[in-house]
Formats: sequence, structure tokens, C-alpha cells
Amino acid sequence: MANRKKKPPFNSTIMLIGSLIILILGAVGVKVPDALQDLFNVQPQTTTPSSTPAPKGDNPGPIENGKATFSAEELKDNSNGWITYHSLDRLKRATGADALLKPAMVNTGTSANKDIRPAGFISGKANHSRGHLIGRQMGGSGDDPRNLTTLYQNPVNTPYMTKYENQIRVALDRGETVRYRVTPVYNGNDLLAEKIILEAKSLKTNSPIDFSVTILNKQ
Amino acid sequence: MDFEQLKETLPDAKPQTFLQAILSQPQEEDAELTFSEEIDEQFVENCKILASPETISETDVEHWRKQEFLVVAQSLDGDYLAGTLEQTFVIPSSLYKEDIEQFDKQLIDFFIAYENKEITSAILPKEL
Repeated sequence: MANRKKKPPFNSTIMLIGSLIILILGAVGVKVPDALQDLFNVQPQTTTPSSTPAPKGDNPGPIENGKATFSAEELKDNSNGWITYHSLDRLKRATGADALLKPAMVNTGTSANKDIRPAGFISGKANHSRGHLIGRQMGGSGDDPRNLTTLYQNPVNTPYMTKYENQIRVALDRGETVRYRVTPVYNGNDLLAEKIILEAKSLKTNSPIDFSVTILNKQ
Repeated sequence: MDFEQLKETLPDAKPQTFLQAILSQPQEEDAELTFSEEIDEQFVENCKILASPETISETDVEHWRKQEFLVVAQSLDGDYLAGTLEQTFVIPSSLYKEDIEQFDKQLIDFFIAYENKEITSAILPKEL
């Protein structure tokens, strides 16, 4: 049986205009309904994924935003490293963490406390992880709810977030000091973050560690 | 899960046998560890994505396979539990080789000891 070619529902001018509108909306970050995309046979490109391959789901992979944007004040060194966890919000969601990471802090963090279930957490079977904002390998606490947020285990918590944490770990193992900030971003009252933003900058001149990256919290 | 009882049913020391026995039991919804056949595949994929001189390589995994190496579970924090015919490994999600914790116990004996709070790990939660 011969394959029948699918006939477009509109004439070519309308199809072209519709496709262009969808592409423009996608480019400025507007979510276009799947039905409309199918109707005009177009998929908007909304992000610039990094070279990290995307696993089987529809997460596009880490989106590299360029360099970190710490102010000079925020990059002041301190002989001791430190970590500051921001307050939980009214929905008991973690809101962020800042740190000045020193080599001595490597592997001084703690695994997550089994009695802590971050906002929105269902179970490991639901592909949820109890994600540290400041990772355990960088000294982050697993006993402080302000450092834990629900992330999809695969691919968000690992390998995507881990990939950037490992880059910082390499710098710390080289003796560098790294300013680091992790910020989960929520959509309204959603309990799961829509995305998580990692920013890191080494205080050593010419270090490759100077990045801002957004990771969408989706499978 | 009663690991002591499960041990009585295991015909051999293969990690695959252990995993199948675990999967034949009902898993608790809020368990600290997720057992699955897919975790090994994800682990290998992550070895590729996170590849660096410091992390576990595909070559390492191939070498360990000679001892029936299999990743059987993942913690809520993203860390892995794997076993060979004679040993159990707690592997951090970073896949850093120097951070791997190695125990000279078969998987089933490791879990019995873990349940009895006889395992000291900087990676795993203090109890199941």
C-alpha cells in the first residue's frame, strides 16, 4: 500500500505564518501547546543545551548561561570557607545556598537525613531525589532541610548537577577556592522547583571554573 | 525487608540473583534505597557522561564485570550500591574512584549488617 502524504490543514501561507509565530514564541520562552505545534508541524527551540547528552526523557540538558555574575563584594576571600543556607519559604521549600568552598571542605558534608523529606518529595520510585543544594562532596549538610530540595534523580540530580559539582571538585582538589551559589526556582506554589541555577567562580585567576548553568527539573 | 530470611532463599552469590530476589519482594514506598534492574544501565550511562580521570570508566566496569559486578540500588541522594561475587561497593553519585567505599561482604551480608547498623559509611544514610 502506498504511503499517503499528510495534507496540511491550511494553505502554505497560513502554515508559514503559524510556524513562524510558534518559533518566535518558543524563542522568548512561551510554552506553546503541543496540539498547536503538531498542527503546524513545528517544534520551538527554547533553549541552548550544553554538550551533555540528554537521556531518554524530554529534559534538554544543562543550559549554559555564560559566566557567573558574583559581585566583587561576593568574591571576597576568607581564610575559612563557609556555607550559608537561605531560609525555607512559607511552603517549606529550600530557597538557595551560598558558599565559599575551600579544599579542606571536600567530603566533609553529610548524607541526607532519612527523617527529612523536602517539599514535594514522593519517593525514589517516582524518580525523586533528596537533592543537596550544596553537595555532600563539597561540605553540604544532609541534616539541614534548607539544603535539601526535591529533584528528579535522573537526569537532574545525577548526572547533570553532578557534572558541574565534579568540575568544582577538581578545582578544589587543585587547591583553588570557589565561590558557589545554588538557587532553585519555583513556579508559583509548585512544590518542586521548575529549575535550578548553579553559579561558580574560582578565585584563582585563569581558572576554568567560572560558569552559570540552568538545569530544568524535569525527567 | 527481612534480609536474614532472604539469604536462606539465595541459591548462589551472584548479584543478579540477589537483585531478582529483592525485586520479587514488595518494596516500601518510602524506602531509602530503590532497587531496580535499570539502575545498572543508568550507572554505565553516567560513567560516560561524567567521564574524567578521577571517575569510574567504562573500562573499569568491564573489568569488574568479570566478577559479576552489578549495580543493584540507588539511594535517595543518588549514590549507588553495587556488588560482585565477594564484595559490596558504595559508590558516590560523583563516581569519584577515590571516594568508593568497599566492603568485603557479599551483597546479602552487607544488607544484613547495614540493617543491624554494623556498617560505617560516609555516603549512605545511617539506617535503612
